[in-house]
Amino acid sequence: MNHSVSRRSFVQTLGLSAASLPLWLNLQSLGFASSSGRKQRLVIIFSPNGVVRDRFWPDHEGDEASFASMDLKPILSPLAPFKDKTLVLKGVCDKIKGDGDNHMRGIGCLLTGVELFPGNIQGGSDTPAGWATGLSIDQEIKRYLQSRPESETRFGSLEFGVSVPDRADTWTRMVYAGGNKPIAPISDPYTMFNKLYGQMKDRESLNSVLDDLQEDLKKLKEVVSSEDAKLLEEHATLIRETEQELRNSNDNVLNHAVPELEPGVRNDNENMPRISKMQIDLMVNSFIGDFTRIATLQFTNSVGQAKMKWLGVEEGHHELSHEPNSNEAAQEKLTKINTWYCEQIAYLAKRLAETPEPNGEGSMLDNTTIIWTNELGEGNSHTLNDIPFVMVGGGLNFKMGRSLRLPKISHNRLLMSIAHGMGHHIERFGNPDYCGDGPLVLS
Amino acid sequence: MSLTLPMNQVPASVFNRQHIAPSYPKFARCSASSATAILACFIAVASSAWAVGQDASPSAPAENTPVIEPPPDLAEGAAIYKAKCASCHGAEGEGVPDKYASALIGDRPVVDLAEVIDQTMPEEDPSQCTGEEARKVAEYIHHEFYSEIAQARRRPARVDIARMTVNQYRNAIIDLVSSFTWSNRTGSGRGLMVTYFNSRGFNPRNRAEEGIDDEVDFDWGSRGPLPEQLVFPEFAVRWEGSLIAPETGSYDIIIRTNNGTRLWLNDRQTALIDAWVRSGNDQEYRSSIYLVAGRAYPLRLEFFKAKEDKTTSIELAWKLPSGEETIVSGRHLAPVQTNQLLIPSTPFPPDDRSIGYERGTTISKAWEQATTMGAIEVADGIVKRLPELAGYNRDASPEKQREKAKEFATKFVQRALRRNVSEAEQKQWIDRHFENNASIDNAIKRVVILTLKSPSFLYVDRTRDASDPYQIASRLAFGIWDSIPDETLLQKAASGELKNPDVQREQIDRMLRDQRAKTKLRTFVHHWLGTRHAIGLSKSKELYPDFDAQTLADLQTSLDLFIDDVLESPKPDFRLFLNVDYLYLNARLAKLYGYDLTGAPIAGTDSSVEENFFKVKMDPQQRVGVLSHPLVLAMYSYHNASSPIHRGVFMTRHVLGRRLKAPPAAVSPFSEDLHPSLTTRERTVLQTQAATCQSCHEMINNLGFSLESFDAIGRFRAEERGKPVDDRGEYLQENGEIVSFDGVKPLGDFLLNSPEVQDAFIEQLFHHMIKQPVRAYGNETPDELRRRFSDNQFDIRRLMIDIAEIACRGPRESVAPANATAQAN
Repeated sequence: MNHSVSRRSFVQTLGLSAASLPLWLNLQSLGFASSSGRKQRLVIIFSPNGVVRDRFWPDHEGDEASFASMDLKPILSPLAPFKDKTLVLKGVCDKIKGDGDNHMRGIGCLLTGVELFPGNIQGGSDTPAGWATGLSIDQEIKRYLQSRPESETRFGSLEFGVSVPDRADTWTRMVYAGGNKPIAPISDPYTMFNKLYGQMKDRESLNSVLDDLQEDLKKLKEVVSSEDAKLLEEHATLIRETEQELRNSNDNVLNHAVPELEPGVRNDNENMPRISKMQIDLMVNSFIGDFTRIATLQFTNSVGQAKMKWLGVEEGHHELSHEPNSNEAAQEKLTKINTWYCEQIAYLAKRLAETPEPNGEGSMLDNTTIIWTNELGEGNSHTLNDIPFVMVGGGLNFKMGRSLRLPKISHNRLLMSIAHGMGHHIERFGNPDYCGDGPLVLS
Repeated sequence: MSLTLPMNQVPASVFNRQHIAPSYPKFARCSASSATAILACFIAVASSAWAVGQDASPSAPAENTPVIEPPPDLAEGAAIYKAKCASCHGAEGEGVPDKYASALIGDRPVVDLAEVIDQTMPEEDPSQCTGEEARKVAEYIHHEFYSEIAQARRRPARVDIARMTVNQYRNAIIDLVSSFTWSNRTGSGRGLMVTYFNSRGFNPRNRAEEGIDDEVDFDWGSRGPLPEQLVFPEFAVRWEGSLIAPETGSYDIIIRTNNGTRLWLNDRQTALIDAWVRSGNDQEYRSSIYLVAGRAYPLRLEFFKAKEDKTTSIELAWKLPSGEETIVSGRHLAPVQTNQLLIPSTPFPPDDRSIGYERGTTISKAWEQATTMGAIEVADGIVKRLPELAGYNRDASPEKQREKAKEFATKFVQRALRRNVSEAEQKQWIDRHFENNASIDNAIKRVVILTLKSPSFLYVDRTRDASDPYQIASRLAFGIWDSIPDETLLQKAASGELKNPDVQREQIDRMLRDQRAKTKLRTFVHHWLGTRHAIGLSKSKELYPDFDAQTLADLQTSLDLFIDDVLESPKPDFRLFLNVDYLYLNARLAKLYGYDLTGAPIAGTDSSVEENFFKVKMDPQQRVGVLSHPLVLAMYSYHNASSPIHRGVFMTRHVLGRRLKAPPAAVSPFSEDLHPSLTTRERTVLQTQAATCQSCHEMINNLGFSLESFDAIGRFRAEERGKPVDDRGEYLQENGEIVSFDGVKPLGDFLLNSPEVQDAFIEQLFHHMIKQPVRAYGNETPDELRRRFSDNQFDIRRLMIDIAEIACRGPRESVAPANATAQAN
């Protein structure tokens, strides 16, 4: 994502004379939504290649009481501190058929609930495919929130990535603005930082040079005729106006300090843990500033090949995921990998739990639901049954602290419940054939 | 020196030729009874655009005839004026509110003025001032304030302080940033390098074939481009080279394919179009990009056929800022890859063009804000490429990076300000921002924002000190390139050598060889002909079913090829524009315009051949000069009929450099249906027969009529509506002489030798280059330029040298007080 490009298309869209204040100085473009009501938030986090089933799923169903006494399996153990705020759903299946192999449909239909277009991308098996034919649930909810003044935010949604490869194909895209319109996640925290705070930094830079500009004008004025000096005086006035506008807009622009990013962290496999933390911290900041109420975070991609050397795992994640369940060493490594992903969920939950809701009640976690999911149920069988859906936090008003076993229901119904939880009451989503009995009741 | 012209230098042709009575054989003179405010309509200065959507006319050239005769006695005329005219027109023709507010300024000769006064003035009783009396008043006002010369004396032109125009700003940024990277030229080759691969990827081991493709427009069906070599079910093709933008603005780049494709344009990292994934029925991919004219942008286009793809095809097309959508022709492609350019695309408010050329003599809030957005945009772009621009490796030690970044910042400031910086300035502009351990990116950003917003960067002419060699360097660079000086110029300025006229000429000569100078000149020719306005030109489908968007594109290519012929020759002769006797045509155009391509040579030089275009010789009695190019004629026509008025206005303003005021009332043309038996000429006469119209239309129509043997698409015709075409025309020259021409050939002969045409061209070129009034460089400058132009066989290149030379020495220091000569009387 190119920062300057987005800025310029922004300016071009609105035109030069659209506002009396320069756009980049405009308070509203940076600040809060005008909401006084409760701010509900949704975060969807993706990690690839299925899970190790017997080290992931709780042994049985459990309501609030029995789940509390249940031990979490190793992969979910990082969520122990938030157990009462956690909901584990087993039995949700991605039943979408059509073109593309399971990895492609796994990620491409995960949030869209709709088939892929036929195309020219050939997976390991099945027919080749293109992009999804419809938009993803986060974008559907974003449209809803952005259409209402009380929930409208500066970005509407933010798409974070960690180690997503720099290529656009069916395996690397989860979020869709519409059919054939995949949205690329931003994997570089510096790019994300610029998107969030670039305008702030630009203002500071501009402010720091205004005096010099006046001085330069003054020097120039000394060497031109009095007729020409008039134009320079006009110029000086315009610069003074800019200064005044900057001063006026300097208060209350942000309710938090612009975060300092550790400089020079390279975006490579070795730095994945640092990048992950930077991205999660930026996400939390963007919630504090109410830049958005929807975020997605995509770790690598479907068939992702992260090499988690910091865990002592030298092999790539995807190749390990093909190992049979009988390969104990491989399952152990896959458990480590998935546990690391769960730690990232837990870190986000912790940051949100520690942050009081700005202008609101409780913690930010009370108003945010994190959903951790995956394109497959299991790596070696490539099943699209029992897609992992683990939720943490109170954003959707679901009843938490439970482990549910569902009767192989289509995941479209869950996608609808998420929309309902955010206040968007849709009756179908994706392919209507899979919307069956409507949204799951989870509250 | 004082520029007040002594009386014996006043061009007296208007006096000594007044015996030549104007004759108006085809039209009745305006009748006094119906005339209201005729003099007003006739004489007032025109500054608003009219009729053809052109900018206002440049001011008319001055008289140049050597003067021997003593000045006439003006006292009598002055007395009559004071008694009978001044109450409405003001003591010095400045106008009187509520009576006649406009100033009496114009370019009619005395004979003409006298005639109007005789017939129509004073309004309440035109019989009060006639004959000899009218002539004396005419002489007086012409000399005192009406004529161009009189105005020049009264309000001497001056060089106003000016910021860069938007176009200059964009070019300056591009060159400033590019000065820190490698660069190369596209050379004379055209088309793109193409490589075929026997796989879906681009592994060199699978390379099957290489070559040059003129354009990318292929439908290979199921067999593929090379059925012999590409035998696998999957194959890939890559095109590489540069794309050269013919105009500035936002382009749509379009790829149509049934297969997978990716395109990088002016960005080696991020693809402009990524359709590697073919999905569903998508077959057309569009993306927009802002490009600046005359620049080459690196391009890489990749294509692959997947196993399942049944057919293979690909097209690379674009939609130009002017609106046409076509396949990108080989003329705009080069097989050499250039370096990527930083293009500032922040929208700026348009420059003032109210006096016929863009100039930067006004500023506004919107402009000030745009300079901020622009500075931030460029700062972002620089920070992103900082290691490349500052010449360090990302692995270098922090100290090394800092040192390199600071060096970059210093050079950046010097190049942007076009001079060396003092120690104090070094501290203020650069060092300060690196203090307190500021991050490199932040420091660079601040230096860039400060520099690009500073008046020292934004203003072109910054000092009146004519001997400052840095100022000379800037004037040369903006005048010839519309950009900042390069390293060579700055060095010549630093050493002081640039003060030497020989060195100036040597540098001008070098600079004219640069692509930027060529682009600037080419843009000018289109400005002169008004052919940049041919956007979306369309014609009646009923009458001209074969004239479509493709025809328009072909005509533009045809005109461009001809303009290239003139401008690319070692001595580009201005007269070629007026007496060229050939036309570039391809098969489509030849069919439409009724010409035979047999035996005509192919267009272009050896290195760049426009394969489909042929150089076709014309019968000079039918078609001669660029004014009879079908595109020019079609432009100045209605959609269903020729327009003598549009053609006449174009010739009056652009070619002859005369002033016209806006018409007294908005009038829509008579419908043909109302007068089905009339020819276009007859209809035009009928429409403009009112005396109020005739004051201007006499000149306009009679010029336009001479092109009546061309229809609305510029096709030759001998008759219209069953009547033979009457293409007789005439023109009353500024010197009072009338010339008649029956048709295009005598018209061309007249224009070819007309000093007015030369003056108009020179003045427009001067303003296009320098963006300051030519007379600010001396009242005699236009005459001097025309003398040299003539001495140099009308070599346009030499003219540019002369203009650049005059302008780089700066404006005249002193100017005459406003009414010195008036008081002398």
